[in-house]
Amino acid sequence: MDCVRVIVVDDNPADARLVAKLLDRCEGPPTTEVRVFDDAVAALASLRGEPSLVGEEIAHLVLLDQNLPRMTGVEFLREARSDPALAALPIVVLSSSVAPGDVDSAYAEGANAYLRKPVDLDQTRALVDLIHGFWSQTCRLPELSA
Amino acid sequence: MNRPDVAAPRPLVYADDSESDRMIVSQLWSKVAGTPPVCVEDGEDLMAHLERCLAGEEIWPRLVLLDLNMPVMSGYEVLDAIKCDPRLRPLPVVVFSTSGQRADVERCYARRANGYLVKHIDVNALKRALERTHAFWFEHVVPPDMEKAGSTS
Repeated sequence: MDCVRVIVVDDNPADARLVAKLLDRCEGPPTTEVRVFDDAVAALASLRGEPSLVGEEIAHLVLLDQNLPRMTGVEFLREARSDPALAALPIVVLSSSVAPGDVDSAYAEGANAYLRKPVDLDQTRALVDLIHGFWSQTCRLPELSA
Repeated sequence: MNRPDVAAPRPLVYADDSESDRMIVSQLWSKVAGTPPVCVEDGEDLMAHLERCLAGEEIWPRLVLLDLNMPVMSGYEVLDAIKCDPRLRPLPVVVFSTSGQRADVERCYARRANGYLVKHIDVNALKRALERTHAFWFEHVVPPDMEKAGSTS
């Protein structure tokens, strides 16, 4: 895979922009293309395929915040996992909450992994490097069509 | 019956029928993690191990590394058995296979594999893959509460 397409879903624009910028700067191969959504409903609609996307590959990895307005991370997971087109999509939760209820429900609804959102820049940089190193450079990701 | 030490570090459990793969992964993992993995020889062995975890006789793994092509019970059957059982579903399972075929990768993720690694023949590449697996799953991931999940009926 030459280019890994990542979707970042986070209603905090500063957090989303930072993660997107750091991912974009990770050394390849593969390169990373990031799209940011501030809302899980919009991210889901995009993944389910705007007409222009039909037949093309959808994103390879989703980084999902947990506490979102309109549709929470857990609701997004439930929707994605019950949709045959999105059932195999790797979804990693990146949340500031590590409340046991939030963690356990994310895994129960099919999150691939759960990460605590770091509080400072150095930790965020280290975590994004690790996400890139494990998911983009080490894991084989599914190539799903819309 | 001896109860396991619940405060002990949670191990990697590695299921593979290849003795040589078990040997090399054990050696590399011991260097990377500081402790050897718990190795089982096929899917049935793995499920028996997880049954002992459910019974409180073994420590839950932090992560299961799963070969796909095994006799008795394949990796696919193991994924179905783990991910369709609410007591086991949260347990992270990363597939570890020589196949890098798109269909196999998609099939595993659709069965709720948490990740998919291709087995490298090159030892340095394999070691790097295990280092990243350790850093991600053992140092950064917030793990599920398997004791709680395992006690649901």
